[in-house]
Amino acid sequence: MPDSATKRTEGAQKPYVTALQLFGDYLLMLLVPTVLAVYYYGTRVLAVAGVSVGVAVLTEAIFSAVLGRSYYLRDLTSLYTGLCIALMLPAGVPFYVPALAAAFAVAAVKMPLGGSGAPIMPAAAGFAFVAVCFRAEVFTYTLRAEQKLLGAQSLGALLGGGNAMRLNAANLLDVLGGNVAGPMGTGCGLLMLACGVYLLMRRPRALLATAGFLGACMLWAAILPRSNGGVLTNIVLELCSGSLLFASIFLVTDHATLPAARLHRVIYGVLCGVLCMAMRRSGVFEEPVCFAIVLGNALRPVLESILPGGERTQRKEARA
Amino acid sequence: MKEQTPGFRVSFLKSAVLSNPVLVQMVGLCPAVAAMTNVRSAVLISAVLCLDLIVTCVLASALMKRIPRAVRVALYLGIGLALICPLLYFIETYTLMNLGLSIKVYLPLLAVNAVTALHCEKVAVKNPVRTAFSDAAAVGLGASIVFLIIGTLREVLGSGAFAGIDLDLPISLKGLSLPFGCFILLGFLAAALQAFSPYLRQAQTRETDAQPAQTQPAQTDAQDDLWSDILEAEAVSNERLAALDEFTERLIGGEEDAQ
Amino acid sequence: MKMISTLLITVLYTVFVQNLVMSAGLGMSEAIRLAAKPEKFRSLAVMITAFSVITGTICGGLSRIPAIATLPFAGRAAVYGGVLAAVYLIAALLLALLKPQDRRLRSTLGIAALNTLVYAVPFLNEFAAYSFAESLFSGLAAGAAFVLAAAVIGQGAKLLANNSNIPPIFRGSPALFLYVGLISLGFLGFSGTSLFQ
Repeated sequence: MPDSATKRTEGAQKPYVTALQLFGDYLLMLLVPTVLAVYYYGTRVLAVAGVSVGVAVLTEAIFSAVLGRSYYLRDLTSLYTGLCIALMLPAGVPFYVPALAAAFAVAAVKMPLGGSGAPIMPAAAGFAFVAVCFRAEVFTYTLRAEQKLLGAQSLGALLGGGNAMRLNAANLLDVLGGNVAGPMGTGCGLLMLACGVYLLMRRPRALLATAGFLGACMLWAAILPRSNGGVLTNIVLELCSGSLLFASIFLVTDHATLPAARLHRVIYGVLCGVLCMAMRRSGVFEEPVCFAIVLGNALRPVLESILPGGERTQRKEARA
Repeated sequence: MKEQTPGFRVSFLKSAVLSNPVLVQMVGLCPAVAAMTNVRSAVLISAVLCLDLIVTCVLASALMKRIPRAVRVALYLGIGLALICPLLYFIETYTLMNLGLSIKVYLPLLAVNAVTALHCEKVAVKNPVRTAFSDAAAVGLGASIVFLIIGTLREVLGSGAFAGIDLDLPISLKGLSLPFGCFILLGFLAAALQAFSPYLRQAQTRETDAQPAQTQPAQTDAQDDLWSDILEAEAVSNERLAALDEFTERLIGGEEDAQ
Repeated sequence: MKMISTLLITVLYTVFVQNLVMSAGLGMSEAIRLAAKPEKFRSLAVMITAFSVITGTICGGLSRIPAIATLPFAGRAAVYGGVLAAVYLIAALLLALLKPQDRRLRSTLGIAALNTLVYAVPFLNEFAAYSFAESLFSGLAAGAAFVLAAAVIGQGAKLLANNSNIPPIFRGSPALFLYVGLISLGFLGFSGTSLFQ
């Protein structure tokens, strides 16, 4: 079944992209951080990812059976949602956390709100749900902490405490390479850059939102620093902490929640970035980017209706 | 009294189940999402809501038909305050129950709840007292059932306890005692209701079809006022259902006419 | 300068950190039902803001009178409710004198004044111990919080209505409940808790 949301957002740049191609691309991009996570944290990564993906697929199958629909894995979205959630969690997380996150994402968000065209991104909502319910488990990074640059302390916790580390060439490489405590698949900035380059080749216009998002985050980090380091230190630490870069590539560019017009994409990205940085300052969560994405998703239709070039203007033009 | 039973049953099926005030009409959400995190608060809020609803509807139906609408809505607030504030004072002073901040704030807020205003305006002031009473009772019951289910689920799943007794569950989903958890539960409850409502609608049509056959001879008797009351109540409920259909229609099809 | 930043924080707190509609459910029924009547959006938003500012400031002034400040909580609740009813009746009278024909505006007036959001503003001001200027701004912010929530819910409802992939049993209110719940979850990122807990 062709997905209407896919057609809507992708129609302008390519004649037709199937959900299979789209999520195939994303899954391919997700496999790279998974491999690196296995290198850093060992095979437990595979177990966590397996639980998350398995529960997502199972929930979708059960849900479809209850609704009397035939179930098919063809659009890969539940695989993608499951893997996305797993990579944002720490490697040592108890197994019920990814299971509940994936179940919530599929049963409470994806399936009831319209499948792969759901107006709220399931993976972000699933992560936000477990972050609220199991805050301690989701933000504790103790597995293999002795091999990390700062031990079990993550960059987010460092910034939350108002401290900065001094960046030199050696530990900058550690930070960018992801050798600090953090979510298992999102720490490596260099890898995220590579994913960005791949995305640039496949869906260049989706990166408009990424650019807006990262630009807003960088500007915020420069103007309102959370630590006593220099401007550059602050920007690098804010960007590399938590799942921010991962979100900028995988969550902000989600096909179903991305506005159609170019300008709207940039503004949507800026909005998500501002929300995320504001939540980092005011909230209790070390990494609130998923909350920011959920809220940004909800604000997206409002944005499109009030900005010029959106739905309302088009309707006016059609009437005239 | 014997004749009233099927009437109330029809009224209950319509007002409390098929157009449930919380799950279908989406009113009365404020106390439910914020204050109702355990069974005790659910019972308390349900009881106060039912009391407020029944008293206000009966008074509205008995006394307020001549009063202009703009003044009437303020009187509903007055009646609610006159009921709830003394009750709150009594509970706080004499029963030494520790209500907790959220219940303390949300109990007076029940005086302005949308369920009461809606049913007073749509049903009570247009109908005789008995109809107003049965409608208010059915609606209050319908809301209370939902509140009790939500309160129980949130306490058991959210804090691993039931009515204050610890259940020793391995995992508790803290999020469910927050407002968003209530909405998620309400969503699934509403979906369950929507799944069963075709069957309930069938049962209801059977019941209403069966009724006139029994009541036709009675209508010639002196008892016709009772049946006209019930039939009128049904007409009103149908009107309400139609209005509700229109509401959902506009929710569902609002965009089509614009495009 | 300090004053301005305090007022700004009051507004940001009420609109985002503890969005009154999303984090405390205040005025939620009105915000949801507004999704079906978008033509009332502007008038309702203006009226709710006006009522919460007026009621909030009057109640703030009254609660500084010792006789009222020493009342038990239930007594103060009754006073605040009385003020709300009085403000509403005066507004209704003014409307009847100035625009006697406008029936739609009159029915909106009742919804705008007599809802949980407007009635809760005096309590919020009391618990936060706001000064006069702060309670003025918290009233404005309550209106803004309502506008934000109602706009998000309204646009979301439209989006859900057009999505033909939603399973039939989730059409209508179930999907809207879940959607509203997810927005409420999003707002939790600002604080991690809800109001009055």
